[in-house]
This record gives sequence, C-alpha cells and structure tokens, in this order.
Amino acid sequence: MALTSFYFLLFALAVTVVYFVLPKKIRWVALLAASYAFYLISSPKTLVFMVFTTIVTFLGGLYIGKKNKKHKAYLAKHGQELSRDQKKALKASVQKKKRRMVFLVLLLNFGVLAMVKYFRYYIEALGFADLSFDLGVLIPLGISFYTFQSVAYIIDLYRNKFDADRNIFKFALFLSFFPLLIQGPISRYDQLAGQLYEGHSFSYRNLTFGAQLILWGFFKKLVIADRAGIFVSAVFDNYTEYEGLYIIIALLLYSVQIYGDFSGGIDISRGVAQILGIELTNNFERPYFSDSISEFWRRWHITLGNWCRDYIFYPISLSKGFGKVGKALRKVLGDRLGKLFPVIVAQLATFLVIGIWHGAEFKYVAYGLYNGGIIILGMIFAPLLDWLVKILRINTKAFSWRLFQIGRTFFLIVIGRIFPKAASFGVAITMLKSMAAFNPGIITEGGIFTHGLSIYDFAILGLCCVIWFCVSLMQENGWRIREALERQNMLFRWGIFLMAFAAILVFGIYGPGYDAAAFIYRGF
Amino acid sequence: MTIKEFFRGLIFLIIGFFLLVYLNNVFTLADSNESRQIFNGFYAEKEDTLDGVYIGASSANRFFASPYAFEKSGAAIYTLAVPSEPFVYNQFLMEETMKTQDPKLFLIEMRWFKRTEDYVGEAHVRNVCDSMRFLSLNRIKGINAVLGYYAKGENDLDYEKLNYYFPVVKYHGRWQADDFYKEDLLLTRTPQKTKGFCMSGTNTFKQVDTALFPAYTQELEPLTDVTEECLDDFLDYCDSITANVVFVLSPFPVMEEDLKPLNQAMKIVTDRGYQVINCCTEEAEKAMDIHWKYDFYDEKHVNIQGAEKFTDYVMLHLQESYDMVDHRGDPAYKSWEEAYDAYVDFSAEDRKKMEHD
Repeated sequence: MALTSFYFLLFALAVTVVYFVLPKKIRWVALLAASYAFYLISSPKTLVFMVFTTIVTFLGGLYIGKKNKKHKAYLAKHGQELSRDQKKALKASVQKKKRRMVFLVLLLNFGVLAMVKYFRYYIEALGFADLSFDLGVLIPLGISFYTFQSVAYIIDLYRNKFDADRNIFKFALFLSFFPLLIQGPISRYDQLAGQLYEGHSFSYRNLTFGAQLILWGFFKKLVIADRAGIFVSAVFDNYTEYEGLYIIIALLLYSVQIYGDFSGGIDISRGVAQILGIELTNNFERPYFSDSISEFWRRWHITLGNWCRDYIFYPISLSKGFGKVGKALRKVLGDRLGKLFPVIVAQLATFLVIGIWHGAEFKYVAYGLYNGGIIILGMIFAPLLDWLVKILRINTKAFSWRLFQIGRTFFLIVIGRIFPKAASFGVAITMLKSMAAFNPGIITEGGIFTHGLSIYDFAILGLCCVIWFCVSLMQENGWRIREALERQNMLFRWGIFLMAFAAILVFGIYGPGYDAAAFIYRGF
Repeated sequence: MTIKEFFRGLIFLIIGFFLLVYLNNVFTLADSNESRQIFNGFYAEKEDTLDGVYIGASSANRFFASPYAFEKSGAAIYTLAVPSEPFVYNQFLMEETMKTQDPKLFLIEMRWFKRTEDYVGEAHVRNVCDSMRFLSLNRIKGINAVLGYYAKGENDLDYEKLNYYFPVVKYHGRWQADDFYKEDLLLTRTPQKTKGFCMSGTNTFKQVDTALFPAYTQELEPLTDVTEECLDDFLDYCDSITANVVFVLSPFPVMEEDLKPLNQAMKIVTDRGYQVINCCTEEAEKAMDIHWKYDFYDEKHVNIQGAEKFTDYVMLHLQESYDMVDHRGDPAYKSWEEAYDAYVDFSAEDRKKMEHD
C-alpha cells in the first residue's frame, strides 16, 4: 500500500476513528492491529521476518534488561561490601554476558537483513547466477528500518539507557508502527515507545496540523518529485542517448526528485502519526542549505545519520583500540593526523554502512565512499583551506561566502547522486564523462521538452520548486509555517489548503496511464 | 474538540467536497466528445417527455435516427447510446432514465452479444461512466457491475474502481491537452443536437461498398456462462419494471459465427416473453430494402440512407405493437423539431451528393 494511495488515506482514517473510539488504555492495541494489518496487506509473505526480528530482539532485550536489573540490585545490596576491583570485575563479567547477547541478536537480525537484501546480489555477483540460485524471498517491507530500530534498542539496553520492554505485543508495535514501515524515520525506543503505548486524547489542532503535513507531503511527492522523475527516468534509463546538459539537468532534477519523494513520504508518515497524537522525529532539516558535506549528512536522513553516529562512529572513534593506534601513529604521521586517524576510520566505516544501507551493489558502496571521502579530505586539508582563506582575505562571515559554500556543497551532492541513480558504477562513470558535451541548443531549440516533460510541466515544476524553496527559506529563518498559518484569517488559510488540494489533484502525477513511481526509499 | 471546531471542520470538508465534485466535472471526458454530448442532451430533456429510449452502442446511435423518427411519427425516442457501450450498463442507464423520465418503452440493442467478457477496452467502459453525471449513484453501480462482469474474462482492463469513480484521476493531465477548453472549466454542457443520433460529415453521408454480404443462419451457439448470466440478470430486471422492453438487432453484414451467439441471445430473450426486432434476417433485409453497397459507410454501420430505412422499419414495428403518441406540434417538443431541422440542415450538400451518387 503506497503512502500516496487513496487506500492508505482511507486506512489511516479508519485507524484514527477506531483509535479514538477505544478506551485510552487499549488504544495501543488498535495501533498494533492496524500495523500488522497494514503489513499483511502490503507484504504478507514477508511478515515472518518482522515477527522473527521482534521475537529475537524482545527476548534478547529481556535477557539484557534482567542482567542490568540484577547487577543494579546486587550493587544496591552489596555495593558497600565490595572493593573497587571487585565492582570492576563484576561489571566486566555482566558486560561480557550482555555483549554475547548483543552479538547474538545483531548476528540474527543483520543475518536476516543480509540474507534477504544482500545475499542474492552477492551470490549472483560471484558468478553463481547460472546455477539459478534463488532464495525465493522477497525483500520484506521496511526491513532496513525495523532492523536498525531493533539494533538501536538492543545496544541502548546494553548501555543501560532504559529498562527492557516486558510486553512483547507492545514491543511488536514499536517495531511495526505502520506510518514508519515504508520509509521510516528510524525511531529510537526511548523517543517513540512511550508515545505509542500511551493513549492520546483527540486534539483538533493535531488533526489539522497532521492533515496539513500530509497535504504538504502529497504536494512534494506527487507534484514535484514524480514530475521531475519522468525526465530523470527518461535520461537514466536510456543514458547512452543523452549527453551534456541532458545529464546535468537530469542530475539536478534527480536531487529534486529524491528530496521531494523521501521528505514528502516522511511528511505523510509524520502527519498521520501527529493526528494520532504521536510526534515522530523529523528526518530532514533543509539539507540543500548545508555549507559542507558533513552538515548535509546532519540534515539529510537525520535518523540514519544519528543511528550511524551513535552505533558506528562513536564506538569506533572512541574505542580504546583505535585510541592506542592513534597514539602510536602520532609518532609517524604527526600529532594532528595521528589524532585524526580514529576519526577517519570511523568516518569511512560510517559512510560504508550508509552506502550499503542503500543497496547491495557496488555503486552504493561508491556513493558512501564518495561522501565519506570528501569529508575525510576536508578534515585532512582543513589547515590548507584555512590558510587559503587567510591569504585570500576572504570574509567568512559574509553572505557571499556562505552562498559559495552552499553552492559548492550542493554541486558535490548533485554529482555524487549519479552513483546510486545510475544502473551501475560503470554506467555512472560513463555518464559523468558524457556530461562534458556542450549542447545548450537543447534548451534554445526546445529539445529538452520532448523527453517526457512538456514546457508546461517544466513551468509547473519550476513554480512549485520556488514555492518549496520559499517555504524552506522561511523555515531556515525560524518561521514555523503551520503555526504562522494558524494565526491568519480563516478564509486565507482555507484558500491556501484548498488550492494545495486542487493543485495536487490537477498537477499531481498519478493515476492510470502513468506508472506511479514507487517511493524510492521503499526499496532501501 | 469543541462544537465550534467540529462545525468549522465540517464546513471545510463540505467545501473540499464541492471542490472535488467541481474538479471531477472539469477533468473528465471532454465536453467536445460526442459521447458526452449525447448524455448532455439526454439530461437536458424536459422531465417526462420521452416516449422511449434506445440504449446500445454505435449499432444504435448510427442506426436509429431519433429526429427522423419524430418527424415521421411524432414519437420522442432518444438514442442514449455511445460507442461500444457494454451491455451490463443497460440496467443502470434505464434506472438513470427513470429518475427524470417515464418512458413507455426501452429499446435494447443486442449486437453486443457477439462479444464475450474477454473483449473490452477501457474506452468502452469510460464512454458511459465519464459521460454520466458525477454524483449519480447509477454511475457507481454501473461501474461496479461492468468491472465485475469483465473481471471474469481474460482482458487487460484497469480494474481499479477509484480510477472510474473519480474521473479526475484519469483526466487530470488534460489541463495541457488540446481538447481542454474554457467551456470545460465553466462546466458548460453542450447537448448533442440530434437526440443521440450521431451524424458526421465523413461518415453519415459516405457510401462504401463493403463487399460483404450477410451469412444468415438459424443456428445457435451457446453464450459464455458469464454472458448468459448477465443477460438473465438483465431480463430479471426488465421483469421488475413497468416500462416495455423491446430488443433490437440492427442490420449489418453479419458473419455466420457472429450470428450464432446472437441467435442464442435472441432465443433467451424471446423465451422470456420479450419482443425482438431482428434485422439480421433475409425477410427483414427485404422489408427494410437495405442495400449493402449503398446503405453503409463501413462494414458495421449504416449511413444516413440506411439509418432512415432502419428507423422506418423499427417504427413500423413499434407502432403496430404500442400505442405511440404523436407529439408533433406540441410546444413541449419544440426541441425535437429543432433536432429534425439540425438533422436536415446538417449537410444538405453532402446529402444531395450522396443521393446523386
């Protein structure tokens, strides 16, 4: 069931009605039933994988939680009798047992993820395709999202951040909450679980704000992203026929498409959750206003970035082992580079995971390494850049400098996106080479308007992007759009909502005759 | 939620609903489309003025010249037929008719029975449902019935009902199409001028020697189970209404294999006690004086000359069996006189040329 389908809206409406009709105490049951019903409707054959991950993580969590409690209780009772060394030894012993369990849960959960998402690709890549090896397994809906949520839960339990969930049904809801299933955001247990289990009261404000977010999500997905996607597909699907400006424009539009597609879907998910009184983490913070690649990754797919930071980057960069290696390297590479070494390794590992998270093919690995590589180069050459800024007497506080930084970052991001979008790494390189062709005539002579998008489509796309840009700019400057609209006269407000509704219906790309693009992030 | 908030939300939803209705009326089959105009004309008829309605496909709207029938007999029989209309729609078009009219009889074209549930195109379904009033419940019922019927066959029809319920889903891209005019935005409803009888300069006055001759036969060939069930259901419906129902098979150079299932369908209908005006017999051919060389514009459709012969033949039967009222000269039927004027004036030049040929 696609997020932009009428049936999803109908489903969400039905869930909302049932949710608020039921007594508060059992409202979470309605959410659990709805989430599993959603999964059964959307991906019935793969439900078993989610159930497996739920059971494994729940049981592992119970074990770790029990160890945490026992340890705490023991210390409370006998803490004063134990020496410091004894306490350390006890802690180490408990940690060791917990670590084993974490390892087991990670192995099982990532094992399932690897089997259904990556194994087939690598088997084929290793040349076993001729054996017609087929696992007969579909990629389960939302597997990357719920696997990452389950891993975060188990590691946070290991870190003793909260108590283990003792109700498997409630825990099942945390992993399966239906607005999150298609494309996240990847939510943390301590942020989401409490909200899910608590029975929320109906709020008119939540209803209107949620509906507005849904409307905005539909606008971005159907009017902007899917329209841009027509041209993007025309070029990328027949890349040998295109060069120069065609590829440049397709890449630019792909950046528009993927942002509108992903953030639009997230807005719909957040809107549905908000109507139910549940606040989901925002996954985007106007990423194209970033002035560096590292800032971009703090604004783009924020929940994935945070996950990688907390469970990959910090554990590696702050680990004792890498600390020691760093110290040793200081003697060889110097103080600064020696210090940077653990960070560089952690950065590489993080972006490798981000790349692989998007898919199994090498092009995704290349995409991760491209981003990580730029950040690492930036760190290594930071003193050189600072020196250049100094000798060129650049005023880094001026707007022009920020504009340059934003433009530079946007350029690097747009170029890098050729890797995940192209059919393969080789195709990406070929397309990059083809970009060099000089063919401005496609605009002056109108050739560009004959590849799926008419001149009117480009006009609509341009206008809608301007609206989106203005909204983003206002948000960037601290405006809270929905709150600001709330303060306006009713007629003005309603006029805007109704116009948006009409614009989606008329200018949206949907319906028969059009092969509605599936949400890009659904496949991840 | 306060009462004020409730009513505010309700009013907003009502406005949103009207906007949705408006957009579904704008972004639907173009008003310039003849199917749409046939329905526009039908809906524009004064209440309770129609004596009869002829329902069918192009085998009806190219054949039965309503204005001509009115001029000759004074009977107001509207041809509510659009190209390739699936038979399954008939019941709902009859119900739609009876919302505003109280016709004495329904004429039901039977040529559709040479087809099965496997043969359908999206346009066949849409010509009807996208021409009907958006808020008509019969439209929804018709869509459900038609899709239900074809779902039992082997075809590649789009079965997503919402795409039919809400025309805007299909047609919203029309804003940049050549056939999108301000009349669509203003919801202008242009009625077809000749009471459902389709005239065009290129077809109505064309004479084509199809080089085909009918192969009449009395043999029967069973209908598919699904189609027979569909016909049975329709006959059950006909039993339940007070209006008379007459079945018609319009003339064409029918092939033997096509006529066999048609014979079977006609047998089922007559066995249930309904009259069939079968024009695909040698006797009917002679009685109509249909000429395969001069009376057709293609191998399936008559030209204006053939249409008049067919209309005369059908009216003869109807006048024999039913008490048809003569409305000529009645001010309430002025539009029918205008329709005849349009029918005659449409292309006097072409008509002369054809008569000369």
